[in-house]
Amino acid sequence: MKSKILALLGSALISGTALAGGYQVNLASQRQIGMGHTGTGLLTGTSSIFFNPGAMSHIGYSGVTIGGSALVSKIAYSAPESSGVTARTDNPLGTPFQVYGVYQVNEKFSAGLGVYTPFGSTVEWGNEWSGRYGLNQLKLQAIYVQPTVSYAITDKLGIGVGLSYVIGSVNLQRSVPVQSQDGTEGGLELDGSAESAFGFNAGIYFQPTEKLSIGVNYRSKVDLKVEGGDVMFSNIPAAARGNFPEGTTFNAELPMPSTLSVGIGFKPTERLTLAADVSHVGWDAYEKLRFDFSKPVAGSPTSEAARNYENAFIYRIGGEYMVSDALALRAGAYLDKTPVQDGYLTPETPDSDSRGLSAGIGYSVSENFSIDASFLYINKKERTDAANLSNGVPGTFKSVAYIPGIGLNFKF
Amino acid sequence: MKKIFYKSSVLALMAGMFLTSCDPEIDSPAASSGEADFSTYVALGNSLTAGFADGALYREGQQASYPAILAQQFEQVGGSSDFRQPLMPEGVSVGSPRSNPSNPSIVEVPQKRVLRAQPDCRGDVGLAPVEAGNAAALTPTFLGQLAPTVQGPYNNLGVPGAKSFHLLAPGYGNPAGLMTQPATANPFFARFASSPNTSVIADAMAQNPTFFTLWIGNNDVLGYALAGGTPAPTSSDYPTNKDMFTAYIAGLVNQLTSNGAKGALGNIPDVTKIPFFTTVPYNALVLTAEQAAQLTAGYAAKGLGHITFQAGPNALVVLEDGIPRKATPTELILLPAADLIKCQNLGSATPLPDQLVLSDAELAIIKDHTNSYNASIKAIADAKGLAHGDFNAYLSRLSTGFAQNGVAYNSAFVTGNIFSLDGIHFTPRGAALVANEFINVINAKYGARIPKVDETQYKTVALP
Repeated sequence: MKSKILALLGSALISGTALAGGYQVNLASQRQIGMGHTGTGLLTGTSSIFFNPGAMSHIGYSGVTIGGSALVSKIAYSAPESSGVTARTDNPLGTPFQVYGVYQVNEKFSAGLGVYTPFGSTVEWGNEWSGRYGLNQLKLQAIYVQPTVSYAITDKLGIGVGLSYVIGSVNLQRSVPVQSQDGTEGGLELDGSAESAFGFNAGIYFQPTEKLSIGVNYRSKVDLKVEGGDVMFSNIPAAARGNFPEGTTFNAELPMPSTLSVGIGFKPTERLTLAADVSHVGWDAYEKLRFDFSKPVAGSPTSEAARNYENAFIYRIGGEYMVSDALALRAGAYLDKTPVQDGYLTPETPDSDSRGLSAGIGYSVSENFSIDASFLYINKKERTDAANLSNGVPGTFKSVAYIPGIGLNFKF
Repeated sequence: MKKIFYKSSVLALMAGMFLTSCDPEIDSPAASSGEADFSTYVALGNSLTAGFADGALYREGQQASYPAILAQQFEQVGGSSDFRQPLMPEGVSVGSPRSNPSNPSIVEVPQKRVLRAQPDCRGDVGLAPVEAGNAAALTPTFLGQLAPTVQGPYNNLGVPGAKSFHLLAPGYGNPAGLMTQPATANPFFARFASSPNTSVIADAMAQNPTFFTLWIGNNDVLGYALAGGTPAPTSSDYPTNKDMFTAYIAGLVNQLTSNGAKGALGNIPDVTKIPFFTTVPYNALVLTAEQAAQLTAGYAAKGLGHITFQAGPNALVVLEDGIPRKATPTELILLPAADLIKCQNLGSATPLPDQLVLSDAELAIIKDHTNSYNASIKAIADAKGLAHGDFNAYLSRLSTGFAQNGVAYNSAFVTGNIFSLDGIHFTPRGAALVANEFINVINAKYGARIPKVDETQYKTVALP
């Protein structure tokens, strides 16, 4: 079973369609997804590597967690003054995943390694819809590898920090408005891998009483840069080829924004855990999407579109109830405010305020092995935008996502 | 463990059912016809209405005519799915009749234009719009080969070349009138007129239309413009008398609305904003210092010392009213001058002839008539409670350019995406945008909600 899931992870490293605000994908732990993705102020087990490295030294064991989600996202589009839905995405299944390993060196000190996918986007509109000159499909991936250390200063206070090593890639395809005699349209594909980049993830965990715990976590901004990515053209009529030169490369940069979270955990009884988190995401780092070409494309050495995201908050609540010593039931909800301002909507991330509802179960098979399953439903507010400031596609967008996930926890 | 597997498979099954039934939906107001009845729609007009493109009438252009696109959208609000157009046979294209250059007594019709990379008169290989094949003599036999491939009655009654009064004229489709001097009939109407002595308006009224579009009047002024403003006031190519124009439009609209039909009138674009008149700049004469000195000396020797030249771009020399002079920045040079400037050096030692230039005075005549026609069209539309499509304003918007769904549109020749290879008529994309303009004003006037067409599904200029 373990090897099967690992194989699945290895084969599909694609994160989901822009799920949270922008292209952030908040699916870092199956237990926490069940609880509305709270966790900054909790001991979340090995996933504290992500949620709060300060808590890692307090979990009290060594262990490994592997998990993944099956992300089904759907977006409907209605062109201005049309009647009903005029296009739908055909997004492939997204598979965000997480692997965490924690080794408790001694009572005070833990070391760990996490691999997770906090950003990404896969949107596939096809090459027939009215917005195809803006976008046919986009695949954006980022994988974080994060070695982490944590130190328990007292039995109530812990700190931790991890170094994030980030790799990523982007593939963007759009139609080019030039037509051959037979009516076929040109196509443009940008494909590149990002240079390795680094960031950090630091946290403080404080548990003043048995019932109350608090955490603060900061994950830094990471700029992903693509240098010398490939620009590929297809079906360009001979007469226009001079405008779309073969062998062109591109440079581009995309920020993975910082996230500051504050969380609180409360255990009114032995069996019940309640949690609330607030996150502030530094989306204002995403000002524009700019491609610099090595040779002019369609007469221009650059392609630039304003994004001007604004910083946004995410509010989360969640709870877990231990029905028995082995069985846990979880539920949660969150509101993720959109960073996209009016006029800036794009078909890559036709974002709006999103509402998430989640449920989960946990089952301990033995002392050393437990399973978490989660289900998250995301419903974004229907949003109509003129997209006149982003060179986007005007119209109305509506997105939903269904995300079942499963995780396995091993304790040593 | 087994129990968990059972549980998770039930969960998966439920999730699967949930997923297929839970596609996101967008609630848009339903399509509706408002106060209008689109069950029988007829379109009256000229070449723009007929779907003429690339200098010729041919099937693909007709299929993407703005009335055909409108009819397709009207279907969603009670319009008939049987919108009939007098479609040309597959593979045949017919341009406007003209005199054979080497034998002016023969009237011939050219084929449509296509873009081809080929050497020009100087041997430079470049993309140019060229006629797809040889022109054909306009004989009764040839005309017989152009019979529509579908039976009438025809909802699209657009007739290339028609002026306002032609739509009222009995016998405008009489084959006998094609060969008279001057011709009293139009081969494009003769193709599909229901009888020799019918008129366009009679063929429209015979269908008892519930809704109509009438976009006529361009040719009332365009003929004068295409002739470089040379026709005298007595000529049939001089712009139609303004009062008569008002009477013609009123006559047409009175008949069309006599059964209570609703409809939309289109006004006349400023013809001087189309690529046919804006592509060749007034200062297209680029000279070296040596050439400039030679030309200056040449004109001085003829006693025309005021015509001088300098290195770089120079105003073209034009012959207006028999007098050679430099063109001014506000004057317009007609598209066919491009080849003559390049290949025969016209516009320098030999002036460009009068019929290839619109002088300020001629432009003023065009503007005066266009404004007057448009005032009449607006007044009649308002008096009759009809929708009014302001294509004059639309063309002005185009000449500055706009972007829609990631495509730039402007009135540039070939690259502007709106105008076909004749520089006058629309591409299918241009026709779709015109259809959406009509839908705008129809929706506003009649409280209808006709969905807009996705213009990106229609072609622009095809490149080789």
